[in-house]
Amino acid sequence: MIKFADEFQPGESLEPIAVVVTFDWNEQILFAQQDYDPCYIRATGNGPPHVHPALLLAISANTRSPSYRLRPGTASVLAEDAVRFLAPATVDDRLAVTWRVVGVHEKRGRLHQTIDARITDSAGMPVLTRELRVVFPKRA
Amino acid sequence: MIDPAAEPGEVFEGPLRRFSAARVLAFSGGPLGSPDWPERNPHTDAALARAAGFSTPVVSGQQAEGDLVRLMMGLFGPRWTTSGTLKVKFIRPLIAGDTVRTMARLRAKASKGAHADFEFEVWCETGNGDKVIVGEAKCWLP
Repeated sequence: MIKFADEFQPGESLEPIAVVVTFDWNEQILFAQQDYDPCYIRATGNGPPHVHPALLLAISANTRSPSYRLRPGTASVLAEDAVRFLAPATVDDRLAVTWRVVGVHEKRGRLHQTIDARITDSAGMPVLTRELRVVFPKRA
Repeated sequence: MIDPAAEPGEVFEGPLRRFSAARVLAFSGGPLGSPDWPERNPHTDAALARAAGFSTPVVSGQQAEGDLVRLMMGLFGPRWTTSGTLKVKFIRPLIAGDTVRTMARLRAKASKGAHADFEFEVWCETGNGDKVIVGEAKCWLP
């Protein structure tokens, strides 16, 4: 039975993902962001180029989880975001992204879901944590 | 980089940037070369945008949020990637073709031992001054 994204309750986790950001994908985001800082392009003494932070935001959106399934004809909207950057991620590293619903409430007939998201690198070190506030349309 | 002597009230701004359709697709379409590129979502697909309540595909809020991160990276350099925090509300959607500028006003600065904490009011505004994202950012410098 399909469980829709707006049915997840506090304490429940969305299916995690593993992501490897390639140099090409990162470069694509540099184009998108018009940000060609050398730290995203060239290796440094600390290792490979850094993943652009905007791409870290993109891959840690709840919509990236395989658990993100919407009711037909509906969509969700990101309303608020609180992000803490903890360490740079590097190109070609295997990143793990997890999500856990930490709050649900209704406001003006819409469902508001608060989701804790985390990215860790291949060594298990935290890269980013964030709390997303996502709004779903009222259920029929 | 921010001048450690900067005082509350000082305003910092990023460049005026246009979210072209190509850049929106590059951000929200997933990796180029994927079999299903571009991924279908409210940022790339008109039907899904309508389902989300928009009349046309909208720019991902995270793409504009990424611009705020860039502004902070410019102020704090690598320190931001290990110590930066950003809290935002998305108050108005953007569509492809819109132009946006990122802004930060230093709200408070506090010395704590060997380092200084900086706290900013941040926002993104369109070319005509309408705010689309508002929030706050914090970081510190030695």
